[in-house]
Amino acid sequence: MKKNLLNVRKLVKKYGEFRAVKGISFEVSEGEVFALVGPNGAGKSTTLKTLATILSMTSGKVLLDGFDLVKDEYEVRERISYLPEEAGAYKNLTGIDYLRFMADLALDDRKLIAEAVEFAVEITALGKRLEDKIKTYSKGMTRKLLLARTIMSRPKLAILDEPTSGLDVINAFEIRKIIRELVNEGISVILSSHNMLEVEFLCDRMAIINEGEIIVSGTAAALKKKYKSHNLEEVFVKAVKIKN
Amino acid sequence: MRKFFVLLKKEIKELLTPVMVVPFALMVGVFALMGQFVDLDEIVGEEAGETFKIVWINEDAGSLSKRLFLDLEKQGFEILEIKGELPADFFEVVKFARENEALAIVKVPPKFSTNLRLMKFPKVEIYNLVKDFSIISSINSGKVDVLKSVLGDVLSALLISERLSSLNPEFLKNPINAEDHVIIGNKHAKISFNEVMIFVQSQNTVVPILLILVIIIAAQMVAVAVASEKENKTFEILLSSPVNRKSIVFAKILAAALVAFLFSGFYMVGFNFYMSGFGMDFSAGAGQGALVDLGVVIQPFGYLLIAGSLFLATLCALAIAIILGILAEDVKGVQMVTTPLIILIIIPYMITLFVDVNSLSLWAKYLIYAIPFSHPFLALTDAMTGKENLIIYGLFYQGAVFLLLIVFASKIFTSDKVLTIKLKWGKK
Repeated sequence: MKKNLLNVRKLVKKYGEFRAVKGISFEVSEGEVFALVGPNGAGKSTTLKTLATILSMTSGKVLLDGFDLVKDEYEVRERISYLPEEAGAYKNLTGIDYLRFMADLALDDRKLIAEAVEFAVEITALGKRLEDKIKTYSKGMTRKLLLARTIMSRPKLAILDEPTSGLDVINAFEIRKIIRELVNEGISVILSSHNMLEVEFLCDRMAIINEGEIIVSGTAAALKKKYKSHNLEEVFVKAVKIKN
Repeated sequence: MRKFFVLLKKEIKELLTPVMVVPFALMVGVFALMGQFVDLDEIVGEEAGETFKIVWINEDAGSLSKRLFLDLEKQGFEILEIKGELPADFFEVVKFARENEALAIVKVPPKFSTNLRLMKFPKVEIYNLVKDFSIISSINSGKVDVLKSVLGDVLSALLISERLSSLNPEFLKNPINAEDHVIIGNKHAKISFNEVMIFVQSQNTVVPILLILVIIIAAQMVAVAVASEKENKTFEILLSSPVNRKSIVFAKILAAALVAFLFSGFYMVGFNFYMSGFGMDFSAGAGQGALVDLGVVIQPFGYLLIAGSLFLATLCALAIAIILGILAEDVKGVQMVTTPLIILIIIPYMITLFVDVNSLSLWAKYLIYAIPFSHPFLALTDAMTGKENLIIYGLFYQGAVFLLLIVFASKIFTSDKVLTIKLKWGKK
């Protein structure tokens, strides 16, 4: 049995009086790819931002690799890497300078920094284009660069918010391939997505979230069985309808 | 600490892009060129020994106007006399004057000499030929004023020599040898107040511009740096990295301050080129003994205090700007959110430019002193009047304000308000 890497208990996030996340609980095991699936405004991004330590939780408890998200913020940040939805990179830096800068921030050891950059260069497969400024990159190239940045330091947990959002078929396919291979690098993944095919292809388990609450969670096969559906899209629609 | 320098290097790299640097570098060149075009010495011709041309119309048959003509020539005026019948259209005379580059037309009326002897205040018409409203034109207009006073002087001398031939007209016109002394605080020097004012104002023109530039450029840069992180969606990645958030704040502030000082240096080099075209060399006269005796020539310690005051004012502006940058939705929004800060910087500049703060009412004085950006402007005058103590108190005050602001900014950065402030503003 795999060890739990992330343990989320009764996580609540309020913006003023508005409860964006209403006491959700879930776990992510080591080497697992876990998806949060839900409609717009369901609380997926807020949950991921909270796990990425950039939003503070209103109540609840989150442990990552034994470290408390609130008390051990810095230790948690050393173990995670976050890729926001539609994130950008510093346009005036070259691709390689960006990777070096981010590796310098993520790691302390010179040797590890050099290895991380080398690893990222390999993942991006951008070759000589890495010497060009990021402002000359296409959306797909930038996304690959950012994904490489996310995983180059080999974090314990990669938090990916809509990793293929807005990408064409080929770029989305390549990104999914990279994410699937992360598990081989010992990296666990939590991601959010609207794309049910993507979720089925990538994830070991998923949770359907709506209006800040997790409706149901499990493997794709288990959920399809539970909702007597042929695909995850049907599962999603049925689960959300039943809840409402 | 290593990560702080990594951040600082990146911030400087982001700020020193060709888009930012090239306009400033070009500005130096443009100012230098403008300085060359507007070579005032050459245009005014004072130092080159050029004469002041006037067109002379004499309708008087008396002797005094003739002697006036000769004396003006002796004084160095180049006089183009219109002899005989005047053209029916006076603008023919104007055309003639303009063609000959005369600055004025002087018309002496009939019976001028007689009326002058009878002390009837005879009229002399002086037509100032205005080309435009540039600074050069205003200087030429000043030369016409000189002509008026020379006319009065020459005529006084002529009348005195006619009536009191045994006395020296120069003595009668100016029977005392007035010696100007100026006392500032407990310092005294033999110099006219006018000379002191010209020197002080030359300092008060350039240095405050430099102060304003440094503070405003730095504030804009740091606000843009934060807003562009939000706009380009790089902020969330940075905030989730294992970096002390205070390092992010300090790196942005220090980078903006360093680049602003660099750009201001560029600007001042260009500005100096430009102003030297007007014959205003601000370093000149710094060694003049009387000015040194009066203490108006700022000494190295004074400059050190002013630099300290400027540095702290810049830091205060940066701390406020970084908070304002968080409020901006994007880079375009920076202009709007930093406007109150810029007004707060300009107000003390304008006030210290026109009035002595000490002459203001008590509450107004306290209000001015409460603004941390007032202090560099006040420090300038304080350094010239030997009130170094006031500058030092100001430094402590500015330091305290900066500490408060930086604690507040760091608090925002270490909380999720750095992201949610925008969210709240967007929602409501």
